[in-house]
Amino acid sequence: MPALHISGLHISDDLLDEFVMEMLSEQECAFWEEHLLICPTCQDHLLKADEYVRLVKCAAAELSDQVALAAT
Amino acid sequence: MATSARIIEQHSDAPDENDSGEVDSLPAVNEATYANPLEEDELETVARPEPTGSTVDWQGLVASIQRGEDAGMEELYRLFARGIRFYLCRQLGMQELDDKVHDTFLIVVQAIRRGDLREPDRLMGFVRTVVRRQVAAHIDQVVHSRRDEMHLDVGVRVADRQRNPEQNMAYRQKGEFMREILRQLSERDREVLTRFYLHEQTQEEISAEMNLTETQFRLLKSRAKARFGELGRRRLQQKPLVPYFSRTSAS
Repeated sequence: MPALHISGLHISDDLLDEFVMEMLSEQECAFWEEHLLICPTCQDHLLKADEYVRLVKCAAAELSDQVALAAT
Repeated sequence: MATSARIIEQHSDAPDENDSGEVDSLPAVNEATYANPLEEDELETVARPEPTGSTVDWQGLVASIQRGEDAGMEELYRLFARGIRFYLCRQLGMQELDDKVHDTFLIVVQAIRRGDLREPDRLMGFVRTVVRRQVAAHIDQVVHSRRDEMHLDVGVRVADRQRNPEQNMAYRQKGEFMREILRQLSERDREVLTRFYLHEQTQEEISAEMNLTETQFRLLKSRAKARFGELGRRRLQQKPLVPYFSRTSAS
C-alpha cells in the first residue's frame, strides 16, 4: 500500500511501475495523481518509468516471439 | 495492510457533474494572471512548487482566489501549472496543450469562486477531478470525431508520441539495450520480468506461481533497471554525441 512505498516524500520505483501499468487501486491512484500534480521530481520519475515500461514490454514481446519461433 | 490516512479520504468536494468542461458557459474571469501558458515542451521552465501539499495554506489560497486577488491566482498557477500540463501532456499529447491547460485553470478558478470547493484542504483532489474530466471529455470528443469520420469504432489512445529523428534513434538504441539486458538474464529471471511487464501479472501472482519472496521479486526488478541505466551510461561514454538518455518532456 502507498504508505509502505513512500520513499521520503516521493513515489518509489516499484510503485511507479505499478502506476504506469495501472495496477493501483482507485484510492492509491487518486493519492499519487494528486501528489504528481504538485511534485516535479515525481513527474520526472514518472516520465522515465513510462519509457522504461514501454521498452521492457517491447523487448520482452520480441524475445518471447523469437523463443516461440525457435521452438517451432 | 497499512494505509495512509490520506488515501482513504473521499473526494467530497469534487466538482458537480455539470461543471465539467463547459468553459464557454463560464462567466469571464481575470485571465491576465494565467493567460500566458507555458511554452510547449518546456515543462522545466516552470518554477518548481513544493513537493507535498502539507506546507501549503490551502484555506488561505482558496480564500484569496475567491476574493479575486492576483496573488492567489499566481500561487495557484505556481503550484499546479506544471502538474496540470504534465498530466494533460501525458494523457493527450502536445496538441493544443496550452489551450487545455488554460481551460483547466479557468474551470478550477470559476469553480472556486462559485464556492463549489467546500473544503479548501481538498484543493488537490478538486484539481485532479477537473483535469481528469478534461481528459475524459477530450477523449470522448476524439472518439466520436473519428467514428463520424471513419464509421468505425476506434481505440481511445489519443496521446501523440511523435519524436524527432534523433529521439527515434535514441529510443531504438534503448530498445536494443533492453533486449540485450533481457537476453543476459537467466531464463527464470526473464520470465519474472516478462510476466510482470508484458503479461501484467501482479507481484502476488508471480511470487506465488514462481515461489519468490517479495524481496526477491523487487530485487530482480531493481537490478534489471539498474543494469539498464548502467548500460546506457556506458554506451553514452563510448559515443558522447548520441543523447541516449536525454530527457524530453514529450517522450
